[in-house]
Amino acid sequence: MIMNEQPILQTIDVTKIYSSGTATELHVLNEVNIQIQKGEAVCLLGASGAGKSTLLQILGTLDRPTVGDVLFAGQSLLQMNDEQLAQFRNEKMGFVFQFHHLIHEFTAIENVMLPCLLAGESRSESYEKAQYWLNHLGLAERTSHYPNQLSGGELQRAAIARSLIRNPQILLADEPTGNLDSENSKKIQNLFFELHKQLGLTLIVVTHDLEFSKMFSKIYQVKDGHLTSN
Amino acid sequence: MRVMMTSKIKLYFWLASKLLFNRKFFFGGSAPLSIFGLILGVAALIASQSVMRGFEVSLKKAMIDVTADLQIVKKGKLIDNWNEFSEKIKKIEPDVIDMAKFAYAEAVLAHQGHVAGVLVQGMNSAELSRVLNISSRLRQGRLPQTANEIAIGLGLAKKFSLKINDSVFLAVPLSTPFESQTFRRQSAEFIISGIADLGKNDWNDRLILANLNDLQKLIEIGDRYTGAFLKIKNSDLAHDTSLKISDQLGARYNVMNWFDVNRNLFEAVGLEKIVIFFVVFLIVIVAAFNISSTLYVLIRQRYKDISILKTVGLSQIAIRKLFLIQGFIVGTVGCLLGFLLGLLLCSGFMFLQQHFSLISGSVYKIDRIDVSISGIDFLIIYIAAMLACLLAAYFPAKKGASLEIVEGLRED
Repeated sequence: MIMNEQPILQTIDVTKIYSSGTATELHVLNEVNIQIQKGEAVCLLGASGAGKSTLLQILGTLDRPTVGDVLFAGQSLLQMNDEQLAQFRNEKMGFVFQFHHLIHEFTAIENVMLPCLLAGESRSESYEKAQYWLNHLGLAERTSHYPNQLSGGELQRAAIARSLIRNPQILLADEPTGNLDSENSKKIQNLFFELHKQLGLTLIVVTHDLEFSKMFSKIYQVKDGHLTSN
Repeated sequence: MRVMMTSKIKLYFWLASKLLFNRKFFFGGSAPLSIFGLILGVAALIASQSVMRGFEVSLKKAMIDVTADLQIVKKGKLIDNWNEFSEKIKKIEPDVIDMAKFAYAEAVLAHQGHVAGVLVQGMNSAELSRVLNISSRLRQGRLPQTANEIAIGLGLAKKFSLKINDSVFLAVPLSTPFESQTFRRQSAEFIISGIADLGKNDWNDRLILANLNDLQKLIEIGDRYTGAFLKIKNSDLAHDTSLKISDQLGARYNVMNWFDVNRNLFEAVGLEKIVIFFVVFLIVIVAAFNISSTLYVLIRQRYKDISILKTVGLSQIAIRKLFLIQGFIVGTVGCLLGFLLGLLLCSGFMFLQQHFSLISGSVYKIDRIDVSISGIDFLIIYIAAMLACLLAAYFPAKKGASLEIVEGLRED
């Protein structure tokens, strides 16, 4: 019972300050505390520049807070060295960004199998898994296409396939539909929740789309570096 | 664990080459030029080192053909008992394959009113062909076989316009037994039986090969000899062998190996080879700077991709390896193409040498160089060029590895 109450991810007094020289300091996050339970679907809502993406990046170990700590299942992530963090991201987390961030020189399937290859899985095993996810997300015919040969929606689905291939516990998405038309946005939003239900994923999504935010069980508002729960 | 390591290295090579070789790389900037610079540097190194090694080999061959692996001369005296002497040498050094006795004399050659100082080397014709390799150097005629025949060098033949069967006079000064202040002249007529390229200009201009008996008669030494030429199993061990024999024979004998005969020249060539290596290596250094700047640009263009790779689980160390591998790939491609171009340059040099007189014999002692392409030179050049490339890649790789993930993700 106690184990179940342990948040899968939490921040303790996380503060992020960007300083340009000695004169000016920009406080992006101020003593932010957030607790996310396993299997929750959490939305970080806020205006541009409010600090929601920075918070997501800190939660995803892509950035370090100036002050504070980030815990995964009670264990401090800031104590890990670069090698351990890289392995942690590969095993436990999946990332989707506003822009697909696929590597242009790799085909769709090569992009998707990359996390498996980096984890030391064989090429054939990685290929099989990537094929499964691309099929599952409706890209069966697009496996050998390069990113410049895919549409916006397809690119984002390929990016989602890449984020899921290692069966992560947490999926973090930063404005995943921010670059798509309304039809494709809807499809991707539905896809997120299908996957959330199917896989029991913990979902943390940054958006400023109010309609999309209504689909989440928990919504946090980020404003001037502070976090409020709706 | 080992399989895991191998597959990781394979993966890094795959990633590095995928990120390196793309349209932008080949057509979009300085990359092809920086590789071309490396190719030129490596080719210049290969060509220069092969020519220098060829020069050394040609020189060494010329020495051994004419003066044998080793020569022993009794200081100020003559060798009286050949059998006893040769047995002694063979006992000291079992690696001696064969020996040939010889006599030397400074003489004056006279022909149709012209004279020149020469060095006459008298040898038994059967021994000569076993120990020396002068027959392969003959350009016309044959080595002296019957009485009063001599073979001369190309230079001497040219200087006196001598042809086969021409006759010349050789005169030697002999000291009188009772008056050391005066000397008398002893001369004889000789027929030219052969003209040889003795490999070195000094010898072509001065050395005359005669029958041992003829020379013994001319300088009146009876059945005695100036010294002996020795052929040993491995010419490269001549130095050690000469020391061993010299040690055993004592101070009364002078033992010289093929290197000692022209020590100054060989040392100069060896030094020149090293100096040329470092001078030409500067081209590779410049190319390495170009490669470094190309990789900096490449990494700047790849900020986003580096961030993606880090996001999906590549560590800083792995990113550094990735870019070092790119340096390795660029270096290897540059070296391989440089090797090919270097071989082409060597062939070009050989071709030009055949048709034009590229080497001045009076300056370089030999007028033809057989380019010698050595595996060791290739290896040294490859290691040196790769070290330069890896060092050139290290700093951009370090920069790429230290990139903050969020910095790259902001780019699009």
